Amino acid sequence: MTNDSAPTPAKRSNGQTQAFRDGLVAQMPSLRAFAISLSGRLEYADDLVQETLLKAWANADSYQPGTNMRAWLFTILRNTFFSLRRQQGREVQDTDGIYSQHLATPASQEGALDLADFRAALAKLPAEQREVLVMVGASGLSYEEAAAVCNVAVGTVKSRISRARATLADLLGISGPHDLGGGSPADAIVKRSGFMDSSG
Amino acid sequence: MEPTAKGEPPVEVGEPADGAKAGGDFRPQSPSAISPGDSHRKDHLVSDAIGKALQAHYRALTDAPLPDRFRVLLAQLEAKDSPDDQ
Repeated sequence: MTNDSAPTPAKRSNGQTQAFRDGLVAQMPSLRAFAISLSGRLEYADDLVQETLLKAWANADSYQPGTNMRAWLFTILRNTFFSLRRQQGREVQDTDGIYSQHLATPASQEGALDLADFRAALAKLPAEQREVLVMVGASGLSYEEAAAVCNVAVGTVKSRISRARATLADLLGISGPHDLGGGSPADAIVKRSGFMDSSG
Repeated sequence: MEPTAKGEPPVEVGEPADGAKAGGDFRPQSPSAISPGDSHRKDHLVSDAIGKALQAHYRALTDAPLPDRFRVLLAQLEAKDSPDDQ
């Protein structure tokens, strides 16, 4: 936080700088998706991404070429997020209208959970569960990489994901014994999510 | 790919999304662990539905256009880094 404006060490060659920069650009969409998923707030997420890019640039030497740059950037971003949250005492976040005001929601595919419902449920998870769920379930990190990003054991990642899934299933109403029992499972999920009213 | 216990209907909610192998299967199970009508099968379906929704959520975000501020920021950082600037 103190040396955002510190210049990068001069020893990096132009080629290396270019490769690093290209890497950052390539990872931006994922980094931003992770930030939004983690913080649940679009503008705040963009601040987090900006802060992460500044820190990444200033600490480029600590990135080992050939390793997963996405995981490296996620580490910076989530550390920034949690340290700001501690400073600000922001434990409870506003989960109303999360994501939805600014982001278009693509139409759900048949048999899929409604995206808005899903996001509302996702936002209710503890951040520690949400981050690993998103990292492993969507952004393509391995359990091991996610564990390294969060500085916890692999088993901890697995149990957090397991709890996250159970909570989501509860919140989305697809966890009861009868919810997926009769008829097509896809129908049950669609019905429970209120996506279609075709129960005639 | 599908569990093939005798007489068991295939456990299937839909085709695996392209990113499914990247981690959509949160709880890898051996085929024999999924037997007809029991809670394992239900867990599998719930997990699959959640995995797909998670990927749809994420894909919608990565597909969204990036704000210009990031491009501007990188350009500033590069400019500051250039040797002439020293």
